[in-house]
Parts: sequence; structure tokens; C-alpha cells
Amino acid sequence: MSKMRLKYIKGNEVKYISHLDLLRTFQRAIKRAEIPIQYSQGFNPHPIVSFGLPLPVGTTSESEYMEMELAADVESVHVTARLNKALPKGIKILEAVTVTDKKDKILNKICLASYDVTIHLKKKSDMDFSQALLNLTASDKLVVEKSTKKGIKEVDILQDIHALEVAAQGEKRVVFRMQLSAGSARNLKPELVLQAVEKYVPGFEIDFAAIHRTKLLANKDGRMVEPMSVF
Amino acid sequence: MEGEDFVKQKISDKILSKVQKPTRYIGNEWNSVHKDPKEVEMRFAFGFPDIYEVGMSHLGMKILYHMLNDRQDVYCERVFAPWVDMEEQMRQHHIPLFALESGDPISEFDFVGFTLQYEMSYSNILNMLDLAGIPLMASEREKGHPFICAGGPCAYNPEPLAAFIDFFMMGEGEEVLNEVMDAYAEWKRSGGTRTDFLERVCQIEGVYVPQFYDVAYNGDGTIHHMIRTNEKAPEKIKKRIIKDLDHTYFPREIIVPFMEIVHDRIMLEIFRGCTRGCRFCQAGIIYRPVRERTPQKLLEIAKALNKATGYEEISLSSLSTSDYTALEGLTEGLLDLTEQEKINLALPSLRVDSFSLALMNKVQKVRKSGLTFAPEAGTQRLRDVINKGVTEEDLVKSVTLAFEGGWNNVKLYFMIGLPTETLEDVEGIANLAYQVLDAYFTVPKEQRNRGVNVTVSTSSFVPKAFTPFQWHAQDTIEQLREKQAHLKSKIKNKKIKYNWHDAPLSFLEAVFARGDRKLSEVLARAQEKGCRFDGWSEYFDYEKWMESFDECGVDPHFYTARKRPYEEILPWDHIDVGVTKKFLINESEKALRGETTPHCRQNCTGCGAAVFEGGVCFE
Repeated sequence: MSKMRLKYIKGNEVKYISHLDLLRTFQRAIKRAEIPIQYSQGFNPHPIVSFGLPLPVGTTSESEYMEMELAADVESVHVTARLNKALPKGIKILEAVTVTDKKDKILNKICLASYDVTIHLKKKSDMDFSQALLNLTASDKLVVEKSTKKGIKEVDILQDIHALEVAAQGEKRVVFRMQLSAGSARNLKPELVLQAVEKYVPGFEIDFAAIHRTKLLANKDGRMVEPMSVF
Repeated sequence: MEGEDFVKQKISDKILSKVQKPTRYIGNEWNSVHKDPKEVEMRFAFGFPDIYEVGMSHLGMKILYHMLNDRQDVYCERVFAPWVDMEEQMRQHHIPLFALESGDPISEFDFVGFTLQYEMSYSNILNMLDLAGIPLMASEREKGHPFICAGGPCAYNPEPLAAFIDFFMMGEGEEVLNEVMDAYAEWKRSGGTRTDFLERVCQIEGVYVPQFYDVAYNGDGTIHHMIRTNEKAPEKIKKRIIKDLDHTYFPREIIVPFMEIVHDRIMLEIFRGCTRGCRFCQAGIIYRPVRERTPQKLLEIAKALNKATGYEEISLSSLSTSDYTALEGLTEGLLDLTEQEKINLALPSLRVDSFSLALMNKVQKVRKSGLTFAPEAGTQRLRDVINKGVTEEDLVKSVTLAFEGGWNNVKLYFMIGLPTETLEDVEGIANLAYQVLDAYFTVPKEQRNRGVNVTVSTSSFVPKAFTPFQWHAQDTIEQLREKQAHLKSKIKNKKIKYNWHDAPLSFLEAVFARGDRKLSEVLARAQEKGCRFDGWSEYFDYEKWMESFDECGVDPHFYTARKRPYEEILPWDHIDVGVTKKFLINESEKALRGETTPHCRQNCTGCGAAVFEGGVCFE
């Protein structure tokens, strides 16, 4: 029995698929690809797969991760090739590695996520957004309203913004690049950052924002690592 | 060529991010078929007049979608009714109804074909045409508009939709649809008119073109006679069936949706038709004769679909699975397959006996979920009237077996408003429920599971075309409500739960089930007023429907409350389902006398279905 970690793309075609739908899609693709997956014990055996940080519905990503337990040894390149033939358009395995340290649950230790957010503005703007973002991150706090189960509460999101910059700017379109806290301990959604920018930067009104996740980093013994580099 | 070149984003993210379950509108599922529209001769939009997760569960669509796409000259795509939130967005942003695969407006297609599974979806058909920008009335459609066609069980009484549909296909679609495609290809090359094409297809057996007929009415609103206005049209339209199910098309791949659908599994169609002859049941007549697939064929299909889909469950589909002659052999083979592939076998409700209980034990290893029984009527007298061959003794014996086997959750299905029903029959439903409860307590404590639940559900009887009860009146809404209240008052035990169907919905269903052409206008009016998703209680608007009848000067009770004489010309008399009117009249008379009729395998009653030269009639 071995364990394999895979990195994959969740593209535009499948961005509206929920996490649960994605799980089912993978389980079925694994079956179609005839990969010797390990099944759970018990009355209702199901293939053992686990995922990293769930991607919100509507978001695309080029750095998603999953792990699966295998009942037999298979070459990782074969798994990649066979799965890619059995996956629907929009999901693509980039690479796979066999994990030797099975106790090291690296996907549970994700703590940073990077995003490119393409924002379509309601009105043309010639404002210098780079300077505006610098001013925002230089302030001592950044309070936004967050709706929780208990109602709306005010939160300071500044300490969870690790980087925020303009990657490109056009007349009605601007791309923000950001790195935010992610994972079970601290988590910040890009939408809240946008909300803060809308709140504090006059003339910045969002028509629609497309969020794309570019990178996830995990904390391995205090070191930030790319999940595929640990095995 | 297949591939991503022809996949495009159909709806902007701005809109998709505003609607519930956007996966309904994106397509691209595994095994969905994408073609280059430029490389085909015909584009067919297969329409299911309900939301994605309902439509995608329909077996007929799965079969015909892949069958049509196996032809090089046809590109078949799917189109569903958008849910109300999406409809609002589409109307606001002027987005015409589009097909799921290409995202192209269905108004540009050669055909839009609807499957008619239940009457309460008719308003959705009109709403979909409206959303597509296609004229609702067949008479208003011109060159360049698609042909609107329809099939499915409700097509057997096509008349309420006569004004909207260019042609209907009666019966099973596997052959007739291919013949229609061939005729279209020829017509297209010939450069003829719309009428030319319709004259051509009406020569194909099973095809009905309503605009080639007219109806003359009597003063009282009944039909005087049907007039053929085009001499090329046949006088009678005979349904089509597939004689040999082993040698007809069945897909070796089916679409695997991303989102969960109602029947999210591989469905194996084990046979068509039903031998039983329950007198209220339309399916039992219109799908005659019974034709089975062999277990060998079914296992071959199951293996292929398992490989092609990766689904985690297989189920059996038919009108009465317990009547499949090779059930034991089939389930043995399927259990081998499901164990080996680590998938589940889902069983439909089976007649409870020692075989089926043992089978259920093998299949449902942990949870003993509810068992379902359908006595349909509360007294033996009424069960004889409807020819439901179940006795009280059978039921008690079955539930006792089930309780002994550890089941403790029993669902009982009944109908109220059946012909000749009295309050005594209604009380009989409560009595049966109490007997089931008593049966539980007769099982020794150590043998049964703790906590028993009996659920009684009543639907309201809707007389359907081509049944022995097609001449009978339906109870009024008030009568149905009284019976529901009466039954409720007779069920006092907390272990028995009573559910009932909404009577106004059954009333409207009955209007359309036996309606005539005068209803087309009412339907159009109701759609104008915003009626759609009538089958969804939260959107069913009875008042709007009643206004529509009123404004069109049509009395809905004419269709429901009236007992028709046998001599009356019925709106569907020009459709031939094989089963003869003589047989239906005889059955109707026997019903009133409380006489039962044996099922096909016990004794042939000469119903007329033998004319199709296949199935049980020749076993």
C-alpha cells in the first residue's frame, strides 16, 4: 500500500463544481482510469482520497492538491497519464509523487495561499492603484464587515494579508496579486480584501472579480514549502 | 472532431455567480458529446421540460441522446428548463434559451424535441419555447424556425398540445427517430417547404402531425368527428415499439453529471411493459406487450457502463421488477459484478417474499431502510375493482416477514377517489395500516427491531387516456379533501404517519390527461400569466390557472367531473396503441362488477397488443 500526492488544475470549465462534486468526480475518474485505489474497510467501502484546502465555488486554480491511497505500486507518471485521460475537461493533473512519509499530513498544514484577482471595474479609472494598495497595507489596521453564523461582525484583516500588489492595470480592468493566510488556523478570503479596497479606496467599484489561486504553501516545521516538494 | 474547440462559455460569470447551482447550466460533463456544428447536417435539441437534475435522471433521454449522436450527420444536444432564478437573469439580460453542449440558441436548431413525462410539465414547454424566442404556435412558425416535436407517455393524448407541436412520435423512439432524421436530410436537400416536410414525416408509422387534422364539436362540447385536412395524413396513428430489446440500441456510455441528480446511477432497463393490467395504470396499457432483455445482455451492458462511467451504483428499471422472469439469475450476476467492482446494487421496490428479503439482505448490508408496498386501495372489493392482485393476507404475510427480518419502517401507497369508492373503502386504508402495525407486535420482541413506523401516503386518482377508467369521472377537489380529512380522523396512532397529495394539482393533471384541443389556448394563457414548474408545489398557482380557464371560456370540470358514455368520441381515438377499445370497455364493465382479470402470463385476454408480434404475446 502506498500513498500518492497529486497537483492539479481546476480550470474555467469546472470552476462552478462544488467541493463535494469534485470529490465524486475524482472518485469516478479514478475508477474509469482503473487505478488500483485502496478502499476503506467496512460495509460501504469507498476509495480513500483526501483533498487540500477546498477551493470556493467560482474560483479557478493552478495549484490544487489531493492524495490517494493505492493498493498496489504504480509509477506516478502512469497515474498522471491515465487520470488525465479519464478526467473531464478543465481538470488536469500536473504531477504526482509517491509519498514515503505517510504520517506527514502536509495537506493539513497549508497556511498561505496566493491569488491573482482580475477585477472588472464599473467605471473607468486612471487612479494609481499600486499606491492605493501600498497606503492600505501601510495603515495600522484594515477593518471590514464579515458575515458569520452569528451575524455581521467587524474584523481586522491586515495581519492576514502577507502581500498585496497590482500585477496589471488597464482602463476598466485591474489585476491584484495577493498572498493571504489560508488553512484551518487562520484563513482570509480574497473577497474580503476586495471589500476592504472598495471601502477605503474611493472610485474603486467592482463590477465582477474573477479569482484564480496560483499557489499554496504549507508550514513544515516552521518552513514554508510547496506541498509537492515534501515526500 | 471532438474536443475543446467547440466548448465555449455560454453564460457570463457575472450571471452564473448569481444563481443557485450554476452547474445546471455549464455542461461539459464526462461522456457528453461535442461536435463541430459545421460538420453535421442536423442539429437536434433534446428538451426535458424540467430542471437539469430531474431531466438528467430520465433513461429515455440518455438512450436517444447517444443514439442520435452516434449518427455522423446529427448533433444532439440537451436543453432543460432553467430554474426560476436563472430564468429571471436570462430575461433581464435577453439571453435566449441555449443548448448545453454548444451554448447556441435552440432557435437555430433543426429540431427541438420534448419528452412528455407528466402533464404538469406542459407549461414549462411553452415557457422554454418563449425563452428561446420560438413562436409558440406551430401555425406561426416559418422557414428557419426549428420543427418542434414531442414524444413520451403523455403524447398518447397529444391534443392539449396540438397547437404548439409540429409533430408527435407515438411509442418507443429508437427506430422512428432515425427514420425522421433520414426524412429530414432528404427534405433539406430537396429544398421543400415546412408543409412538404410534415407531409413526408406523417407517412412514417407513429408520426402524428396535428395541423393535418381538424375537430368538429357537438353543441355540448364533445367531439362530433375528427376531420383529416391533408389527405397524405393517415386516419389512425399507430404507436411504435421495439420488438426485440436485446437487438436494439442501448448506449455503452452515458453522461456522468458533476452535480447530484435525482437518479444518480447506472439504470438497467430490464423490460418494457407490464403484465399486470391494473385498471388505473396508463403505463400498463401503453407499453404493452411486455418485452424482456436477457440477463446476458443486461450484464454486458452493466459491465460496459461501469467501465465508461465509474458510477458507484447500479439499479434496475422497469414497471414491476418482481415480474422479470430471470430476476434470480440477473441479480446473481450483478452481485458478482458489484462485489468485484466495489459498487452498490440498488434494488427497486420488490414484491416481498423470502427470495426478495434474502436478496435485500445481501445488498443492503447495514441499513435496513424502509420497505414500500402499494395496495392502492383499502378494501378487497375496491382492489378487485382496480384489478390490483394483492390481498390483505398477502400484505400481512409480507410485512410480517419483513418485520421478522429486521425491517421496521413500512411505507404504504394508496389512491383515493378511485371509481366506486365509498367512505368504507377510505376507512379500509386506516384499517390496513393498523393491521400492519399489529403484525409488527405479533413478532416476538427479540426477533424484531425496535421502534416501528408506518407511513400511509395517498395520491388522488387521475383517470388517464387508454385505461379502462378513461370514461370515469374524477372526484371533485372538495370530495378528495373530505376523504383525506376522513382518513386523517381515522388514523390516531402516533406510529402511523399520513401524507396526502395536493388535490388541486391532481385536478389540473386530470384536465390535461383527458383534454382536447380547446386546452391549447388555456395553456398559452397560463404561460402568459407566468405559470411554470406546476409540478413544484412552491410554484403551482391554482388561481392563475382558474383565471386562464375563465378567460378562455373553458370549463375545466367538463374534462374531470363528467362520466363519458362509451360511444363518445374521445380526443385520442385516432391514436392506436394496439390495445383495443373493446378490451378497455370490457375491463371497465368487469371493474364495476368487481371482477378481476388474470395477468398476461396466466391467461391471455386478447387485449390487442399481439398485433405488434412480439414479447409476452408470443412466448
